[in-house]
Amino acid sequence: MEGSGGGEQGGEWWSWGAGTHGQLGTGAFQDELLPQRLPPPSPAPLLQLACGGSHSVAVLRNGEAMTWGNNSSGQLGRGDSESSCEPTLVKELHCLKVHTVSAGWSHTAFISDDYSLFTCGSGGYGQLGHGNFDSCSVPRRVICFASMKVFLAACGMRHTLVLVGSALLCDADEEGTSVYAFGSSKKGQLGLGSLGGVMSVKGLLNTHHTPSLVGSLVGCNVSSIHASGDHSAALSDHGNLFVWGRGFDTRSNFPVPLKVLSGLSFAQVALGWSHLLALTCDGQVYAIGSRHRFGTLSGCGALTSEDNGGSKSTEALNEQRGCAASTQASAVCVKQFEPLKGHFVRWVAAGSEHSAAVLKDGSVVTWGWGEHGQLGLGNTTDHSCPNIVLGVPRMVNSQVYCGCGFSFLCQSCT
Amino acid sequence: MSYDDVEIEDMEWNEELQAFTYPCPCGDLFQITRADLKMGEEIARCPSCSLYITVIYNMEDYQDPAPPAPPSIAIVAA
Ligand SMILES: [Zn+2]
Repeated sequence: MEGSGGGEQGGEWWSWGAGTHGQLGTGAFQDELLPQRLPPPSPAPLLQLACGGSHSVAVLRNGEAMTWGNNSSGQLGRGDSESSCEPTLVKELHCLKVHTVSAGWSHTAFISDDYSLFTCGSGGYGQLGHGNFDSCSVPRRVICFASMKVFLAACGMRHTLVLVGSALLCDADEEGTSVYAFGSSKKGQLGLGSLGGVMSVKGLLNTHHTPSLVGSLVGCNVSSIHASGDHSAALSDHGNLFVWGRGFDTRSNFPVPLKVLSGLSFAQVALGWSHLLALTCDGQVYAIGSRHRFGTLSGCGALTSEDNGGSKSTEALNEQRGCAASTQASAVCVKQFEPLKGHFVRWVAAGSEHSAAVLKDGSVVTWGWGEHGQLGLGNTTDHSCPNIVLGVPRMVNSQVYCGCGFSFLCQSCT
Repeated sequence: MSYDDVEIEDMEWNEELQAFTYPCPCGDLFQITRADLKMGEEIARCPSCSLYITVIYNMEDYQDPAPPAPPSIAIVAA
């Protein structure tokens, strides 16, 4: 239906890549090498998308949520375990208005417009935050946030991060945010500064089934949180970037958030399973990660640079009053993504092993792993440099979202 | 090249697949069976893509338990 939506934005969307679990929402359980246009979301335009391991979640502008794809752990939140290849309303949330969502490997988080958090799907590592290791096929409220305002959630492979309005700050006058984490902390992804945890009935070590405050981010003015694979990241409202969890360049893990010393101010972060993309306020793409098996970041040159940056530490700490996050410049190295240098980039997205960006003129470019057609270029080859995705219109308000081996493009209405 | 090295304790037993599994970046699961482990196999493959991981485990843990000591009074079936 061309031009449907009566001028409303958010009606146009496309998907491509891995689709055998129905995650493309095309009505078929199959991969697509080229962008497939999807029927306009109903009954309202799209507000936000989230792509997980093999399922997808959408928020509509009227506050309803739709899910589709793999439902083997109940991650679609519909009370069953039947996978679906068509976006379907989550009736279990019908009495709420959904504000934002996040999709992990096999779990899902919904935040309602009254700042409550609901989770469903796989809970074997405590990643639902319900105080147990049970999976749950219906979105269930995370009780421990009952007296707090939950703003954002970020679901990784086996862990979850939550951003809440300040509740535990000692200084009551100070407006701020706090980050909570739960699930597996095996790779330090909870940022709790310890690799220890409670032992579950299943004998699992290193898991936290009840949300814990990430103490070292208190006072850091975190404004966005990100989780993917065993990685975690946060961005402050000053544009400072923090990373923790599995190391990008080395085998070492970082159980405490590290402030990335770059001298740059970032506006957006996208996290994959072995790389991170960060977009500066002036449209430049920077990257972290060197396990670039698929050329995800091959344009970055030597990411293992010995850049020590030690002299910057004191200065950075001074400007970061009250924030206890560690500053180890040598541990994490951020480099400009050379292939997009000189381009103004509006938006970045990272799948497990591929990446996408929207350029100033609305062109969508993709690069990285291509085996399932997730680059939308009509083939299954890997591409180390960004290529323009043909077959989708250039829309300056485009947003692209990437999951594990698949991608979505939609018109923003935010 | 192996996508990753994964300890067996980080893999999950999947009753339906009768295999230990670990998430693959393609959205499917790397899989390895008990029989594979018993034979000393250390590669877990994904049925949906070309990727594989190296499983870190102790092969002795997956051998058949030593036969119990023979009872002092043997009961022999006719
Ligand atoms: Zn795979």
